[in-house]
Amino acid sequence: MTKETILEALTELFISFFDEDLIQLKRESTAEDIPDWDSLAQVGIILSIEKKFGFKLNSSEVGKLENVGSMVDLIYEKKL
Amino acid sequence: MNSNLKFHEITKGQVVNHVEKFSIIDLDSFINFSGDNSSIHASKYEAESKGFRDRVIHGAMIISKVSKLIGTALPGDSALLLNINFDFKHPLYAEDLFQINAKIVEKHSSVECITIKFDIFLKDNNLKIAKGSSLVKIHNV
Repeated sequence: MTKETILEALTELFISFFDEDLIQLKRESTAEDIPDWDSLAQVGIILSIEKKFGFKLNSSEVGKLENVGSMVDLIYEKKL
Repeated sequence: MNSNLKFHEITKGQVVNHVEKFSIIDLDSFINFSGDNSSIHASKYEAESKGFRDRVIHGAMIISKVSKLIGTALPGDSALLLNINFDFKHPLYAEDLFQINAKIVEKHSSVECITIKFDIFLKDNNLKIAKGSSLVKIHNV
């Protein structure tokens, strides 16, 4: 997968998770850009990422996530 | 005293069992505060006319005992309930003794959550009342 296709897949995941068709993720997107993206939603997003992409993350990796771009990069590294 | 398990103290396969029972007073109390006075819960006559032995205990009442198990025992005070799903297989009646078996089936280290599987059955004859699962965040890491 390329980072572009990962971003597209993440966008689909966010649209499904938040049930909001208008979400358009960019690498710079953060919780500030999506009103319902709080700490509890973050739990669901991480579990959805693990399920969708087929790997497990650890709390250290999750703690370093700053924005959607860092999610894309982490998924890209895990899928290499 | 409630449990207060930390994430690292919980192991996959860990089991907790609770035995519970509801009284007619519990059923009437739930009808009062929930407002669910559907005839199968509130009227013995109507329940029997629909093929039930007696007034049926609400599924939400059964889940309330699952909540008790999560909030007091597994993991206890550290629990934050994120998701719960149940299928109901057989009616439960007042004074029926039933057992809730809870088993940790997955630990999610990334977000310090656990998935708990539940099986609920009558103590008398092992008839399955309900089964389900729940996602719980451990809040005191």
